[in-house]
Amino acid sequence: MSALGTGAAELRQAWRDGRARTALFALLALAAITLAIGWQQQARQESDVAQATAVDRRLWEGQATRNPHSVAHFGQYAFKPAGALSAFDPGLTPWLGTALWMEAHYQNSATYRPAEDQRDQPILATLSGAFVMQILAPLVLIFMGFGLVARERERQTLKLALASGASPVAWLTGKFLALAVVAAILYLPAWAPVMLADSDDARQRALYLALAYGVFLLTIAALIIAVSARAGTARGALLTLLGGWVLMALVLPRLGATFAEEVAPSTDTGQFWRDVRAALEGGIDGHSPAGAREEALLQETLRQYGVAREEDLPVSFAGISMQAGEEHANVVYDHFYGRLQQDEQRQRRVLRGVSLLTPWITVRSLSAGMAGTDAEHHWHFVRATERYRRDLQRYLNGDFTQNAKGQDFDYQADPRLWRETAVFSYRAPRVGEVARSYAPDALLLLGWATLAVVLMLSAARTLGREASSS
Amino acid sequence: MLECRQLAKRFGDVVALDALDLRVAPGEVFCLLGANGAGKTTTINLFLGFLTPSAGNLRVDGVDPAADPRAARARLAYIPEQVNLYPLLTGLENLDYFSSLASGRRISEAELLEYFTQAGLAHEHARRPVREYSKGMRQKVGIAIALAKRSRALLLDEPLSGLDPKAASEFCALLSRLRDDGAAVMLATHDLMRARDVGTRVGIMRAGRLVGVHDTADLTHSQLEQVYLDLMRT
Amino acid sequence: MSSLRLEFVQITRGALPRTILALFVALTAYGLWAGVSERARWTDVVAANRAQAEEANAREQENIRLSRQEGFSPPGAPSAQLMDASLPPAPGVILAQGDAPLRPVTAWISLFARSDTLFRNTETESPLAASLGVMDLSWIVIVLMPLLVIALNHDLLSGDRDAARLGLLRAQAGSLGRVVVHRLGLRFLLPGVFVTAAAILAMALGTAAFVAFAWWLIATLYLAVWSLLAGWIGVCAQAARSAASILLLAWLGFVVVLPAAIALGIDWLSATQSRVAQVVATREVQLDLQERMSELLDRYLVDHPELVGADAGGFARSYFVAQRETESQVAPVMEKFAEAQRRRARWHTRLAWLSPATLAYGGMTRVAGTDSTRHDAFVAQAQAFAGTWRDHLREHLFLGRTLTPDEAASLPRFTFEEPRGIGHVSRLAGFLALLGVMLAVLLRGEIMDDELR
Repeated sequence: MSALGTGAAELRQAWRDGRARTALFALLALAAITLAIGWQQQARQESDVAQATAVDRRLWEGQATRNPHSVAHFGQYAFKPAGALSAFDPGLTPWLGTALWMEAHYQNSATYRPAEDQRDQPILATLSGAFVMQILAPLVLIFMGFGLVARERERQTLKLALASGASPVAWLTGKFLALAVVAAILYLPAWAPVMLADSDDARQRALYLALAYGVFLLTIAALIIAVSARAGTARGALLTLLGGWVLMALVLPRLGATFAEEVAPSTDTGQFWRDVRAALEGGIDGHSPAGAREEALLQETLRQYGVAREEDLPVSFAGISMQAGEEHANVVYDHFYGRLQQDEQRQRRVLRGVSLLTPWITVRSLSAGMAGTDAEHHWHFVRATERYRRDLQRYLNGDFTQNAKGQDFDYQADPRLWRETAVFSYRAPRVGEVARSYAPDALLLLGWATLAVVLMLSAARTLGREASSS
Repeated sequence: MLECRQLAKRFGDVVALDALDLRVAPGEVFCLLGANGAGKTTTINLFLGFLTPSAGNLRVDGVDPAADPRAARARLAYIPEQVNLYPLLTGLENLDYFSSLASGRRISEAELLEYFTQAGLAHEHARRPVREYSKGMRQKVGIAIALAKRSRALLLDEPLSGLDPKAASEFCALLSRLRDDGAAVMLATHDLMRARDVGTRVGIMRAGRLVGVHDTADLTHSQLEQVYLDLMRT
Repeated sequence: MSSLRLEFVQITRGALPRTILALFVALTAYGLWAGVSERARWTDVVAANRAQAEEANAREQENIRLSRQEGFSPPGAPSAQLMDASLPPAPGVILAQGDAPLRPVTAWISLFARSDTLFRNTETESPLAASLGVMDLSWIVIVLMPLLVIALNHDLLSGDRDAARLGLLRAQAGSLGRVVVHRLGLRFLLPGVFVTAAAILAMALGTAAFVAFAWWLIATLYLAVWSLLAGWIGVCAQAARSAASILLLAWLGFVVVLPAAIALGIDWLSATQSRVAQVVATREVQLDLQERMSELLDRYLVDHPELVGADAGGFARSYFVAQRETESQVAPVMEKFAEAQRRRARWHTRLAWLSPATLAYGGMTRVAGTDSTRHDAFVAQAQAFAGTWRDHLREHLFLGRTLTPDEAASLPRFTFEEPRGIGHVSRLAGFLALLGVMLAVLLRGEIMDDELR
């Protein structure tokens, strides 16, 4: 019997098993419900962000005549949009801030992590399309596939099948094809984002996402067949596969997280701001110019304008010194926030190392990446807001410098000054702009797929030897 | 010791036993013969109190197993067709465990070894894990368990199936010793020859009924075989 | 040989049972280590923040003595005084980390602190590790130990049935009831030993005895429920494989799917209010207040006659008043948010009873002090402390007085008062005990049946 014939026979049996049909339909129904709720949540978040952004801009423009530095302190808020496919995979969204205050002197961190507001942390995770595909779909595959070979061995039908002349590789491939068809059914929810995507970028991301899950589920299917082929009994196969799932899907990611924290510890908030303050205090603070740096700046400014005294300057030195303070602070923030990003990158590299032991970490990273809900996308948003903040401060300080001579903080600017500023408009990176950073994860996933196929073929050869020795 | 009157058992529409009357006295080996599904195992299970009768009554040393199965089992030793033991335990440890279940008392190792020997097992096997035992050796451990219970009645369900001739011969010799010691033994078997050798009487069952009971002293092997076949063909 | 010895021998001689037990010894040790590490981290963070606050206070005293100005404000200026309100490590953090690592443990209190921004700029920790979750002792007990229980009990009688030993067993024992009860009791001892050892070691490492006991009680009852369920299925199932499949499906349902579904259900029934709306409301208030600053200041002084002779000028005073007014006007928005969270909590309380795993996990984090309850108490106490701080320094601010070194030294310090309450634990223990009794009744029904199946 050919591989297709074997596969077809297996599928026929599976279809006739009411429990298998029930499990498949239950999972698809669960996926549909989670996707529907996820879409509703994403739509609500997008609407909240759009509304809040509009209101904040209105408030910004609605400020009456006042000092530009007061305006700079009032600042603007940037609200992080939902990731392109956050309805399918919320990724790191619950642990990342959603609102960022762009004010003078400070590069604030994004505040209000949804996880902090959840009073009821789930034991594993909240149901989402990604959870269904990463955690539940492999389980259904395990329950449907553990006995495909092992049970035949128990019933002695394996010997009969192979003794009849069937090629072990073809026979096993048939079993794999049957399980792959089941995986294809379980795979359907991964196509929902493709169909519901509302932009080219979202559609492209959804396609990559679907591809990643396809490779992932086929890898799981191949591993299941390999284990079933080597297990002495069906019970042994089931226990091995479930043990493997518990270890690789649940335990290793958590151990990996702890290991990553040990190797590349996150910076404690208190320490971070102490370090930042210490570095800032080493220079101009923006409000109370003092110290050698301030003096050096004054001397240089006097030289630049060819005057001997600050009063003779044609511009406001307070404005110049505030901008210098901003630029010094920018260097400090770049250094410390850069270190935060580097810590996260190191953690990500450690987790990639751990993903040599489990494909779950890899698929999780790829899924969140394609959904636009990982740390990479968050930092992209943070960098965009910081660029805008710095440009804004430069603009307002520039006006202060030019027009506040003799008045400094009593200077009142026309509201047109800030009404004419560019509207902060954040565009999430296109998948092509960030794809490179996910290449290692993609390669790891392909590596796992290759390993699974190799294990399956090796098991097929063992079956062949088993048949010929009996 | 073991008796039943008009004993019947139905499983739904299926009549497994129909109006069975038999009696096994102490010092007697009663062999139940019959094809698969004749009702031999059902009879044994009823005496063990594993099943409740649909009609009739039965007694084990005066105790009704349906009313008080524990008391009945306390008076019975049982050796199933397949004596499956705990594979990680040695023969002696299995004997120890099953004996302590029955007696609730701590049996000394010397006494256990004595039963081991009486059952026909050499001492050197006592401390080997049972997963290394042959079927015959496991059957003998089953006998040792029965001996340790010191019951006056034994029920054996196809104990000879799968045993080689030497092991079967040793087993039957042991049964004869138990019979001579005054035990009442009911033995279900397919092996007509051994039944004739070891049994005091044979009962032939067909479709849940006892269709013939004969003293083995009155029949040769070939006569017994003829009687059996005639009754099966009727 | 007694049943105890039989079980002991079977476990120690079987390669698979030995491996599984060794794995759980390692997991328990790991869970303890993870808890101790988290407590050490938390202690260090709080100590560092406390040290920073005391260092700043000591420096301020020195600046006052030397009349040395650092920064924008003169030495001893009430607006420049800063103090921390820090939450000490939860009493049971070794046993359950919960979501405590996510929550800020220090609020910086000054005259200008506002209740809605006490914990600004606290999100610098890496989300990667947080998103993957921790594997603390409670998680191990709730998620992984039921698998140990299933491995030990799925073949309680079905294993003997598979091996065709049941007849001999029943014939020898007279009744299977005693055999089953002994086996179940003994097989329950193993996970019980792990949990007890964990609780005792946690106590030795500094966990309060009451907390360790309450945690132990919940863990033991939870595993007892699983043992009884596994025992019942292990007795009823025709084959050990069927029993294992049914129990694994039950684990999947109760531990994996149901808690996740409950979380999703709560999200759908009572979605978390968006903080975005809160931010926008606050900004609207702030903008409005900017335009009415002097009016606000005058009104504040009218409302606080104890500040007679106060100076209404100066940035610090305006800012102080603006902050108070913002807080007051934003209060309804904050209350709406808080009410939404309370509604979510009520839904969680209602739905959590569907899943013993969710319930037990919630109970464990509750007794350990690492769920939201203790943190909410901390937030409330920090806000109260902020009020005390303001009351302490307000007169200085408005009457233009700077602090003396002694006054700076005796500024209030924050002390956290642990919340009390065992009602929740008692109800939870009662529910788990009831579940256990129901399963015990079902099990009893099975083992009283003498029919051989």
